Amino acid sequence: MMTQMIDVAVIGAGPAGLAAAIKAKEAGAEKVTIMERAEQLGGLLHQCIHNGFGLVYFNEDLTGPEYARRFIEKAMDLNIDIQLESMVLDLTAAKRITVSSRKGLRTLHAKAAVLTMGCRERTRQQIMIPGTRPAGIFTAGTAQRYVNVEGYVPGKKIVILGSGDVGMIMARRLTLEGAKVEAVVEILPYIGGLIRNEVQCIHDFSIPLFLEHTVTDIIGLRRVEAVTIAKVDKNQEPIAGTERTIECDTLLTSVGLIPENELSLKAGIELDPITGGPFVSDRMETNIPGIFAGGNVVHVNDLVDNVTLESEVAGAFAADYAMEKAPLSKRRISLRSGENIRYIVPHTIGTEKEVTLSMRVREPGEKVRLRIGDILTKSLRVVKPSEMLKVNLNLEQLSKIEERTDEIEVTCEKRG
Amino acid sequence: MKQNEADVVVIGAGITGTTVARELSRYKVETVVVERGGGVATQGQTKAAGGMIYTGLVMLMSFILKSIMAPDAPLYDPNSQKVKWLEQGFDLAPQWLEELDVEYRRLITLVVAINKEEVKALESLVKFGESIGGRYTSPRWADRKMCSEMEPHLTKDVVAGLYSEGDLIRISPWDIAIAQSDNAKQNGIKFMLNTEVTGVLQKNGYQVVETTQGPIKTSFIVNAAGILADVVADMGGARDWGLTFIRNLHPILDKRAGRLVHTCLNAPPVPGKGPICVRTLDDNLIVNTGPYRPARDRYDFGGYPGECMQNLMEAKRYIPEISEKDVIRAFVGMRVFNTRDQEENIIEPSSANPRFINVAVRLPGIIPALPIARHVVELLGDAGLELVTKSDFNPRRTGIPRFRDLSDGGRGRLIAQDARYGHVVCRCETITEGEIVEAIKRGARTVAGIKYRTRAGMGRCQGGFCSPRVVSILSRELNMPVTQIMDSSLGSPVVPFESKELLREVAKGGE
Amino acid sequence: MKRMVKETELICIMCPLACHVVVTVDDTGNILDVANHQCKEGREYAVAEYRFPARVLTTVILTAAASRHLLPVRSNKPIPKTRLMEVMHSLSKIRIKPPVKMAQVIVSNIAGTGVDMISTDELVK
Repeated sequence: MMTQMIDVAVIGAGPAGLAAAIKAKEAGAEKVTIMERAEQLGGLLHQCIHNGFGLVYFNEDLTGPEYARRFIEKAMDLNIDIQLESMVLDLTAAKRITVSSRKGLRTLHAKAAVLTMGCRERTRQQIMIPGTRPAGIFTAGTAQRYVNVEGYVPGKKIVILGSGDVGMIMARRLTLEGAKVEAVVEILPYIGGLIRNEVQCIHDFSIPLFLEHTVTDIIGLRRVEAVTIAKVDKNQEPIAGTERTIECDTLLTSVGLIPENELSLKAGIELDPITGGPFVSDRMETNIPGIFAGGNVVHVNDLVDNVTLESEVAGAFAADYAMEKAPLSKRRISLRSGENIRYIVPHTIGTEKEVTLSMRVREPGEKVRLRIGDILTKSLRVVKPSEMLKVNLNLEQLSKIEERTDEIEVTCEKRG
Repeated sequence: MKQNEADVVVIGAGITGTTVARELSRYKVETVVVERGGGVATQGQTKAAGGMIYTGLVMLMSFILKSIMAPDAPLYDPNSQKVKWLEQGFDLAPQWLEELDVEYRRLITLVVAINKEEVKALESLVKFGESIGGRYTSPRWADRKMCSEMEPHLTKDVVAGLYSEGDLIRISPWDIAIAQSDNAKQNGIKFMLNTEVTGVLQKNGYQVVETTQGPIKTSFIVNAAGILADVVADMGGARDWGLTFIRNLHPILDKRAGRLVHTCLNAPPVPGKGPICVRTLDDNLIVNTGPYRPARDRYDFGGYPGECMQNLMEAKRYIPEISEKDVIRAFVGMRVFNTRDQEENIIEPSSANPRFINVAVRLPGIIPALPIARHVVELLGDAGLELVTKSDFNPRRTGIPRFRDLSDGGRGRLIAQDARYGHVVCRCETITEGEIVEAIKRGARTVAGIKYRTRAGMGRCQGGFCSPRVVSILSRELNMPVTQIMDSSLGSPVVPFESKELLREVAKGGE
Repeated sequence: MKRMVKETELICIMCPLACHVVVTVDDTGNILDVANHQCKEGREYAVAEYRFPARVLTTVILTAAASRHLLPVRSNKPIPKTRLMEVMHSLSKIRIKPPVKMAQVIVSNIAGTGVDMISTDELVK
């Protein structure tokens, strides 16, 4: 079996992996290898043919493939070793990687590794929707792959459960391709994604939107024939008597993303049960020295631009680690999620370099104050769990942290 | 074999049909198996069967459970043919599984009591077993400490338990049916899938089985149609029994939860209780709490509201770390009984047609499958089928290589033989394109067919990543358009429309 | 003289507040009032959206290429909202042959809208 010694191994060639690999190379790492299990680079950007990408990173409004192409070309120009249809089967804490492809099994010994495996979709089965298991049930992302890459439309009459961005975008996509979207069903009292998508994907096409509803039954033995939806109470339990049956031949579910950390677990990486991803420092390093992570594998992002920025940090520090240039951290300060904060990434920071904090609130709120320890407060007009907050801490702000502090609380309270 | 002519037609390719087919393949008998689904063992009870081949303690418990339903019948009848077959079936199992290259694992059976009443039930169980003797004296007492040693994640509420070793084997139920169909094919049996039987005509000296794929001329017919055995029995001319159905939803938990259970775990056979959970060969956890409820009809394969959570919560009482967060799928087990005697099988020629053998096996159906199949062959012989053994019958079959179970060296060698074994398609279960192509060679035609032969799509993402690739491979290997590739059987394409087809339809409609 | 006024409610997409902006127009379509917004961007959005509701269209077209069935495309300008399906129907008839460069014009003036559809990826073979 072939064995290779490399500097930085990047697992996954979506936007996170591409950004990390490029930055690693630019930071001076010589042998950088990306391993990607799919047939193409770009990860899910390949199938996200809609626009809205790059507004932050490039100050342009790009489609997914356009955004990806910028990084793909850069990666090729930099002579990064790209391995497609290559599945990483094993990762150890010592950064020994076993990868399988048609060419055979290979072992790579990497000085540093960056985990950028992204997410998988939560399924209908996981949320225990009663009813049958016929053909015609897809997660929104798989349906997107069929429609935008493979060239097939999953059905004629569609019901979509979940109003996250993927669900809403597929509502528009399927309508444009000639299908009829009968309903978008959302369990919360508000949509799960951007308001722009509610207007341009649902209202534009007069698609019925059922907030505070869920699917309570799936009917059909061979193929979906109908779904039953019902209103839910404040405990998200269906209210008897509010059921209605909607005839359809397809049910799409857009009910959440789960960071894909099976490989991380194999290497002994510790995961945060709230994010589903690794605990990371401000260098995006996991608890295993030399193994870094970025993008959706760490936490589910809204904007690909943030995935890129975060993964560039991971890639740069992975390169430093591989070249033994990484300075030892002097201080580790934990960030604790206080009032109305669901999580913060990174989980720990130092004081020697600037850091961007990404966080999500638990509950929506208006006229709130974000407080980061004693360092920073920020007034915000509106906050929503579906819109990530990003706060930059510069060296001056970081220097305000007292000597003996090893934990800082972050809160988001109502303004008086 | 001439087109659509046979000596024997077997209707149904579940565990019963495939076992009968394989037994028939030992003889110079032209046999055709007709299956309405698109794959072997993908449409009825077999794929949702318990997956355990047992005797001893679990069998004792089933006798007790039976007595709750039929209190006047003897608990154990040593002359019962059914019981003899169950015992023989268990004894034959290791050789049966090994020659067919079907993976299996021996498990300890553990029955735990969480209160004094349940301990009493265990005491009765032991006494009952001793009264029969032999294999039924296998249960041993385990105190709280020992129960916890056997099952470290067991609830602290356990008071005592009974365990037995060597009387339970765990398999994946569809594996044995698929393996037998492979072996039967190797030995000359023809399988017709996606073929529904619509009627049987009696002719002078022969019969005609009418199907959706044309008629088959035959001398003998075996009705192994499982949940449709009564419908098919009517085609055999007479029937003095009907079928009743009960069903239950079984949650399947992520492989990470498999470590929570090491035994085949049960509660005592008191009303409302019974099996709890078991770890599969692939380290998933299957929750077996119930109850089994009367089905609305024979196709009542859907989960009822709240059923998944309810069954999980019951299992959680015994294994507190079980969490709904670990659910990856749930399936419905359908159990069928005949109305003449719900405790018994119906294995007999039709009263109207001596060459039409009804084989309606009551659960458990996998354990006695082999002795029953041999008996069915005897019945066919009695009815006039000439049984000349084949000299070249080969009982051995090799399964599809399991890339995931091989060492690095083994994997490397497999890839060197066929590069497609290096291309991993199902990420969750580590299933390669080579395995999928081999499954298609062996008869898989649908996404579900691939799933049951290779495990692709059985993982935590439930086909989210791999199913477009599986569909594409099926399309390529079968030389069929993607829009005609079926999800499971029974004619439901995964993605029925090509891009732009609907737009053109809508445009036409407007003209 | 009594004037006929019509009120249209538009959801502003400029920020998560999603104000329901009310645009009041007279019978000739002149905007008389814009209300319920909380910032100037919201007002500007509502006026623009009322006057010319248009959307950038992103979709895929069929290819005659061996390497991929579909090519993603986008409109180079927003298309009037009411004409989106018409454009989709027009595009459904196209089968593009390789090679295609990124940002190449695939169709100009699609369905007479004055808008071009340009490719958003390469089509090599």
